[in-house]
Amino acid sequence: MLTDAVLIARVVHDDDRAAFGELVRRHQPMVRGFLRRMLGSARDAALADDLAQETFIKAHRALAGYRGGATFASWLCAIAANELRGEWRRRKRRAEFHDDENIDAAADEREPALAHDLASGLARLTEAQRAALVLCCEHGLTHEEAARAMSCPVGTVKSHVARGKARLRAWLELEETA
Amino acid sequence: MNPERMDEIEARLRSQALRPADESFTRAVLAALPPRRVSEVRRSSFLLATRAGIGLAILVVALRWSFSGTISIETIVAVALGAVPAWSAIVRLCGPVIPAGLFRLPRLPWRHWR
Repeated sequence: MLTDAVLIARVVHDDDRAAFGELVRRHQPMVRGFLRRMLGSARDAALADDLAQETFIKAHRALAGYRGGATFASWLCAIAANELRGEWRRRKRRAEFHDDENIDAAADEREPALAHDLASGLARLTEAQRAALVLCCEHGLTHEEAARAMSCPVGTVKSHVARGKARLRAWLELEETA
Repeated sequence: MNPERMDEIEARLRSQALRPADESFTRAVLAALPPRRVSEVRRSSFLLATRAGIGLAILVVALRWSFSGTISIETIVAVALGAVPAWSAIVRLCGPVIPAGLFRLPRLPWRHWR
């Protein structure tokens, strides 16, 4: 199997679409999974896929500038995180426009209040904690890779992971006692 | 917090990981990519080869025709009628066969444009 570096070189030098297709095939579970978790609702799955598509298109455009300092997975996640920030900014603007709308309240309404499962537990974490947990625990990125993807120090990622786990544990214990 | 319980969270996250993957997504991404870049060298060498090929073909046809000795008004009309659409199709597909620079009037020293 060809490595990511070989496929990237083929895309950059020969504009090889098949090689880029292989990169998409290889990394879409992580990018789409990350975005779906971050958007937090089954209803937003289509939007998450749109953002994932935009992520790959931007990655294709910027691939010549990829220097290989970070792993390709964390580089992709950084682009996906930027797309996500853009989406949240758009949501915030929409909420400001309709000033009676509250984003957090809307997010809570999307998840059934008594569904004490993993997805709703994750939805109740802060965005940073959720991103750190999803990248490190769900998709197996190292703390360093997650830090690159989230554009923050490694120590901050470690603390987000620890706090996120603690809050999730507390949430899941509620499920066990219920 | 008990570290074992923490690892249990990690294991649960990993086992219930969201990993959507389907070929239609890959196809959609590939379809949305911008058109292929063609390098300037490759493009100009392609144009040069096309022009040389077309020029040679015209030359060969003209020579064969002139040596065959069957030049009649009907064949001239038939060739002219066929040549017009063929020429326009070639120009449309391959760009101008004769470089536009050749059509420009030469700037001769005794010609003043102002």
